[in-house]
Amino acid sequence: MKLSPDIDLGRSLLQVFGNKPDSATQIEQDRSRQTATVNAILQRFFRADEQKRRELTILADEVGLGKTYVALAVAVSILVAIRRGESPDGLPANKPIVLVVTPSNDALFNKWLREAEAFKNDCAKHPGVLEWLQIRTPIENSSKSGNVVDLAAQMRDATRSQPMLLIAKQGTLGAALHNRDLWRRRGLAAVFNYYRTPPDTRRYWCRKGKVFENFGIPELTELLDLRTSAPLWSDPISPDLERAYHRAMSSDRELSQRLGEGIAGSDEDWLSRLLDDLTRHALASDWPTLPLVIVDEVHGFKNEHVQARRNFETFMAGRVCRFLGLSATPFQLRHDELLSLLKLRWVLALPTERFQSLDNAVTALGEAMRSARDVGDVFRRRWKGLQQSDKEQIGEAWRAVADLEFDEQFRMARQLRPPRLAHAIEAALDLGHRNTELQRHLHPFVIRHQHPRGYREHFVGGQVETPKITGSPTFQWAPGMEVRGNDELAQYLMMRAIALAKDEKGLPSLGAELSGSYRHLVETAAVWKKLAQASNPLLRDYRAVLEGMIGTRTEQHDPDNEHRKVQATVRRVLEFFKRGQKSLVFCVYTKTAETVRDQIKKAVEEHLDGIHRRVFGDASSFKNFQRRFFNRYEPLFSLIQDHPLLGRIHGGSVGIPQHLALTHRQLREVATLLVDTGASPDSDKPDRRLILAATEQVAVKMWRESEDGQAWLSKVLRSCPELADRMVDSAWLEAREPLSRSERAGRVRRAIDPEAGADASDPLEAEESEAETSSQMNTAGGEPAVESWVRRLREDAIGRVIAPYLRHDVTSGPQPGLPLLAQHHCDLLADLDLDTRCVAGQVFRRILMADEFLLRYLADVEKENTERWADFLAERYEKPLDGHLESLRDRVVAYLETLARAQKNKSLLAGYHAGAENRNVVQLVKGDTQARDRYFLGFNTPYRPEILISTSVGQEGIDLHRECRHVIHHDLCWNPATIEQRTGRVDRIGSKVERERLGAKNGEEPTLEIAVPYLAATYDERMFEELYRRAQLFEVTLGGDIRVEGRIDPDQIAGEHRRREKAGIGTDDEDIGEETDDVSVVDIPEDMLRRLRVDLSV
Amino acid sequence: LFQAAGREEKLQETSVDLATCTRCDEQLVPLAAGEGEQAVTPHVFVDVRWEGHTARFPVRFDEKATLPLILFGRKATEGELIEYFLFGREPDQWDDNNGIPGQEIKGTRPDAAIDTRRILAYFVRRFVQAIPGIEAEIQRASYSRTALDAALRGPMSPLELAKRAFGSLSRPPVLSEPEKTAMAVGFQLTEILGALLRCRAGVSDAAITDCFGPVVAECKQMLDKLVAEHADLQTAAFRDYQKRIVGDAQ
Repeated sequence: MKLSPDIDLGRSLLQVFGNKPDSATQIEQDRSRQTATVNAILQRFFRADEQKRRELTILADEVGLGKTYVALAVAVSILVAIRRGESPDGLPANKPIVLVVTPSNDALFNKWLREAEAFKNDCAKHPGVLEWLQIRTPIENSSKSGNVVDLAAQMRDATRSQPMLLIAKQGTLGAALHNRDLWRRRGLAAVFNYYRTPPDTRRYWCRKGKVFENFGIPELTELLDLRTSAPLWSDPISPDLERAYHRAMSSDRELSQRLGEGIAGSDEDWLSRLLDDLTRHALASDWPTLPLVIVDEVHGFKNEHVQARRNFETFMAGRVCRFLGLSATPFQLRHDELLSLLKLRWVLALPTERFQSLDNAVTALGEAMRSARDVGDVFRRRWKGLQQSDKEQIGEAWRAVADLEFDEQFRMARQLRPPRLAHAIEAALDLGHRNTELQRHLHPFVIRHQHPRGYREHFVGGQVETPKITGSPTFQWAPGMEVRGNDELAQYLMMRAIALAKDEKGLPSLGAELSGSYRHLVETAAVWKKLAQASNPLLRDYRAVLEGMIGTRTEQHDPDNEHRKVQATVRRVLEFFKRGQKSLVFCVYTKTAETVRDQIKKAVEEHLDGIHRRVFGDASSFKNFQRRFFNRYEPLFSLIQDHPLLGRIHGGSVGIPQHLALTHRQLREVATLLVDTGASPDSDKPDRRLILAATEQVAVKMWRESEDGQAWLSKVLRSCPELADRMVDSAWLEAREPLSRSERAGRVRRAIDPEAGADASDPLEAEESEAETSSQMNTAGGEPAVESWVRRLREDAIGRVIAPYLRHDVTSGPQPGLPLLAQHHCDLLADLDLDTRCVAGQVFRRILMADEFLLRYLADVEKENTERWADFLAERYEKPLDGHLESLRDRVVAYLETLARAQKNKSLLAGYHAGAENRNVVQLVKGDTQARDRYFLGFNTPYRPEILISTSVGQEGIDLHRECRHVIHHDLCWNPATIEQRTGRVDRIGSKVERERLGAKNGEEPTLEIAVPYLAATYDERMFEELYRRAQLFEVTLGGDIRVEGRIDPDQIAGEHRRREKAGIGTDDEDIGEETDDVSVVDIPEDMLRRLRVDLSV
Repeated sequence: LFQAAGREEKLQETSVDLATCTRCDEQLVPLAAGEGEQAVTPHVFVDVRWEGHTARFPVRFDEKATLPLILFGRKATEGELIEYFLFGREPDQWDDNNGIPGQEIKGTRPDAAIDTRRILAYFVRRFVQAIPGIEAEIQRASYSRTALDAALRGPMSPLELAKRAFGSLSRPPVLSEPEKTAMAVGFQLTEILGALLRCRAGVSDAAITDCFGPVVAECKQMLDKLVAEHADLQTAAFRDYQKRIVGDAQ
């Protein structure tokens, strides 16, 4: 089987990259990799040679390479084959359902849902060719998981002509049942019947309150006399529910035995649980065989005793034809954990001989892994024996032996001197051979691709603060930021205080709690509270000094104002902010994230205030300037409004074809309409909104009367034809601004940002309040009003607002510049439906009117030359800011493309709608954030938030790549895979960096900037060194038993306790895991890394 | 090294009066005692050699001061002094590669962790861990003036550690030690001074308490000089810290 011909993965990539010549190569590369991966998976699933067939496969591409799309392509290819009756033997012919099991995390679940919808539209080779695909979830509400009853209900709707993709959270299989009493009554009826339970026992359980939520249910008589229980089994969810329960009891002897014990005993809670389990079993036993189950983040199933996995195995056993696991970080896993994942093969519906074959393959893999791990251990030990002075020699030695014949390699290696070189090279050679063997056994089960790393740029330690330096494409060591002054003293005082708190018996802290922020230490860390409770007077003195230095936060002073790392992060983010570039900051601790947010916010406000003062003097002149864009009585009003009737005309320019443009006669009609509405031509400040609306009405009426006119309307309003009807309605003149305020006002209020800071304003508030202003129209006088209007519209500056709609000979002055949206984005806007177009227009106006944008773009205007400001803005719209390769125009184009893509997906579009109204420039997303999706989606637009600070909630399953190429890992972690996972949020297909690189000219090479600040001579430094060396070893000792976290090896910790006690050092778990891990000292040469790496690509 | 006057008749009962016997160098060449030598001898040991055998014996603490002193070999580094107070490791247990307490493997130490010796925070942490050792050493010697003098001012004393710390700012760091900062040294000096003051407060015999005077004064002088020379240490926070830990040390 191969990728279905109905699927074209390139089409979705085209949507991501846009149809630009620069992108063609990149799209083709990604398309062919994804297509090859889909084919490789399908080939493993269905190949004729049973020795090579693998009904279970893990796709382990790095984050951002499109695993979800590959998995969906596999799923849909299988469903297409079934639908056409071309599926291989063994796959079900009816009720074809692919089940996708996601982690219980809402964000990941929603992402699957969005991407499945997008796949259906964007990857269909021809429009509508995948329309048959039903995409379902157990229940509508994405914040809940649903349960087996909901799953069963959905499954009923799958048909061969309309196969189903059913997306469910892991928790669904074990989730509590609704309407529990009914299901438990059924369960009891089934058990009573199965065991022929005597009436006394039945009566006993019918009276027991805890089994049922409600007492005295009359239907309980059904349980007392089972002959009357028939109505109990009537349920559309299953044609024969009674038999399903009986089947579940008969097929699971353990469960039926426990149920027998349950009713013989008196434990109500236990029996209740067993009855619920029985219901799950009964419903699951009715499910059809699933051609494919996809489990996302499959590493979550590494532990066989985790309830989610046990449920999965229990309810899916014998019901799954093929299994596809997805994991970006499978090699965080220990060997036994990877092998444990492969045990999921036992849920497959396979004949015995296939199980035998798979078991043999897994056994061989296990041996290869063990062998590679042992050799990996030897390699690590020997490599650590090298000294820094060996660095060059080891590189040369490797080059000398790497290409020799097998025996010759080792013979040459043994001759190297000093002997430690010989040992290290021999170990590397041995590891290379073992890894080759490992690759042979692992590759059939695991497919993995990695990003090319050339465009990444790491700034480490002190480099984070050093301006204009080039970072390293790999994660390399660099000196940390020096801690001086009070920061340094605080570190030492903490050590001393903790030593005293421990009665000087353990290892004093190195200030780990201090390295992220003072706020974390003071407001969260247990150690600080412990110090406060101490009775030792000396300790109280230390605590008092520390309290004075870092313990008190007031409105005037925040100790983190001086925290070295916090300030380094703030400065870096601010630099990007000044250039209009977004930043993503990851913190481990919530309090650190909060203080980073507050500090950045403060810095941003100070920066903007500075421009305010320097450029505009007092705040009022700037505010007045902003208002001029929204004030319908001001000339700038038209500049940032959407003009849906303008379009691309012959020659590529924007406007209205001359033969359709308004003539003098139509101008008179416009004037008449204006007079009819009471607008006075003598007004000093005529209402431009009204003039525009009247012009649109006249134009649409006129065009509707001619074929050419209708053709033009069909072209410019192709995605929102209903707008033409609205424009000719009399209400159009009253609404006046249908594409912004009045249409959207209701929704604006509904989608209000729940986390908007008190001082975070909506730039469109000026537009809203403008509605309240009375128009102050003058009554007509003197010259006949219509003629007077015509004259003004032709000759006066007021006419510029409708000049693009008029024939050239109608206007007397020079042609003014076009409104920005029409000039730059009319093509993309025309592809949006009305709702989406309104959101796009709103965001555009918000962007241009938001302080942070406007001040950035006008930072160096001449204060006095206010009339030029608008021109300046229009010019700058097309030019990138310093240090930026994309202009604001380019970014809005990317945003509109994203919106165009999203409008096929309601949930995604709703997210973008909400995101368009985010208020905070600096947004923190942490565990309790209800509205996190809107912030994530807003971050993917040019609008707010511009700076996103995230705790671990944002490190998985979220796309934050469209507008950001700066990541700061403010808090370190022990695991390089975690760092990679976080970075992967912005390193995805269609990312900003990819876009900029494709469009780069003059040798510019924009990079994905990854900052890893750490404090020198502190705990941070130790953590960093460990991290980067682990990252290196991860690469080559895939077969090695690398500990993921520093503290998870209990044997090692116990051993270390003994050693320290013997040495009289004292013990402290906080330090053991970190102090004793073994790491390499000398960097592994690039060529060696490449050769030793286990290649699992296709 | 001390050389016995002659071979004794009964080897099993060898008895030598170390106060009067001839001193010698490592090649057993007799040495003359210099005049005006300091009578502080905390690390005197006896190297006994007989019939091709050699053994080194420590001398009981309170007897050390009765012995004439010949200093030889290098002075202990700051790290070694810290290690002495931390683990009670004597100089003969030092080796050039060893710096991480509890690590028994010598040479390239193929299984060692990342070398944290050159990271200042780790170095200071070991110093912090050694503070109870400093106090214990002084308390152990507080039964006599001579013993206390030796403990306070000898080559393996808190004063020596304070001098090493103070001097570390003006000399390049040794291989196994980090580059120091004024704040780190200020912290060390304050803590050493604090330890001395706490120990002094625990001694009731006025004659013995007097021993602390010159040592405290010398440490205080170094600390004051350091503070005067480095703006980093002239902050309110450091002043508060100093005041709380050492008060107006005299």
